[in-house]
Amino acid sequence: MLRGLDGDAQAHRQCLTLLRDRLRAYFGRRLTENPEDAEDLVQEALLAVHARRATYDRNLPVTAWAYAIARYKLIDYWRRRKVRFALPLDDVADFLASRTPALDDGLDLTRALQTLHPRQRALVEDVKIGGLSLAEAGARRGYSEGAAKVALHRALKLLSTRMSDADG
Amino acid sequence: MQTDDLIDALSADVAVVRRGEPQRRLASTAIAGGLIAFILVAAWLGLRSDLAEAIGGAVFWIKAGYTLALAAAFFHAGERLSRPGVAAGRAWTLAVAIVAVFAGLGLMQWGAMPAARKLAAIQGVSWRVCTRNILVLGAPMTLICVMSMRGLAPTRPMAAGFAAGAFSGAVAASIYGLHCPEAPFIFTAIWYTLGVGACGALGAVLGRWLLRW
Repeated sequence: MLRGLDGDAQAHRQCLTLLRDRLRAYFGRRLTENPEDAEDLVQEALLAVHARRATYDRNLPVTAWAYAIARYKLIDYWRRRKVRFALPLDDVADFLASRTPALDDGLDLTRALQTLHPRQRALVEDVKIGGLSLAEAGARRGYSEGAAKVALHRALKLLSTRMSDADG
Repeated sequence: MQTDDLIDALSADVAVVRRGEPQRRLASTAIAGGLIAFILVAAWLGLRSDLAEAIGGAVFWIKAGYTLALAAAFFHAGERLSRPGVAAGRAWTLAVAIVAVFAGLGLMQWGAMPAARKLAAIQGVSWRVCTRNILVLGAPMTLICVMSMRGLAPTRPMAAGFAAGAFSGAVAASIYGLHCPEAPFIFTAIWYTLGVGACGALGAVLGRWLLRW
């Protein structure tokens, strides 16, 4: 996203493609009886993402911004169709959980990781990114296997709250 | 059109996006709207006759400080609300706090006045027209500001419209200070604030209709 804002067309295309998949998951799930409308909304939302990308605040997660656009387009669609019911706020979880590679998770995750204690962070990186076993990683950072397990669990829990805070 | 063709088309020409586009837009409406308000004051209401003298005193600047601080708070709210997925809670709180502090100042000053002057302090000579004048001065900028916001991405049209209107009202009220000779802070706290609120309401109505994208 950021490189797209700086004029990198290739990065921009990649960003739109990733968002396309997320938007398809988002609208597809809500308009199961109307797949064509869902695809129209995907296009509308992509157009808005492109045309209004100057409203993205670079300090905030891309997902939260794109989600708000998708939500606005969905509400607008219902308004045009005169359908009225409340859209639960917690549907953000679907948007975030759709199984496509995340376009800014790298960025968000790096920031969240930086808020952890250095020893915790090293443990998370060794196990989840470096692929070491708990025992090996624990030995490197001076934890017993059991302690490493607990520490890792705590660190991941902390990470998930930090990241959902960031998206809130 | 196929979605992938759309992505190809959109990625064909990717201009560099500068930071702070919402801020730039709101700031330029303030320049245009402020100018319109100034022309209206000069041509229609007239500058206050003791302007040169008043500018040297504290009262003029405290009044201007109040309306300019409100303008800053609503500018901030408008900028936030022009971006999808960004909350404006802190900006609203700031605006309410500014009104509360100034109203408190006005009440303190008012409480210390002799009873015979209390009503005169609230009514001044222009209480019937003050709020209306600010609404008239702020209406052109409110329209410009809402139209300019259309190019951004406000997902809450009424709230964004209110912020745009109140921002315009606060700018207009600051310019109106060049005409209005009233000195008691309680007067400003009531009638100016109502004028800013009236512009906000106008903006909310306009936003409801115009801020669709």
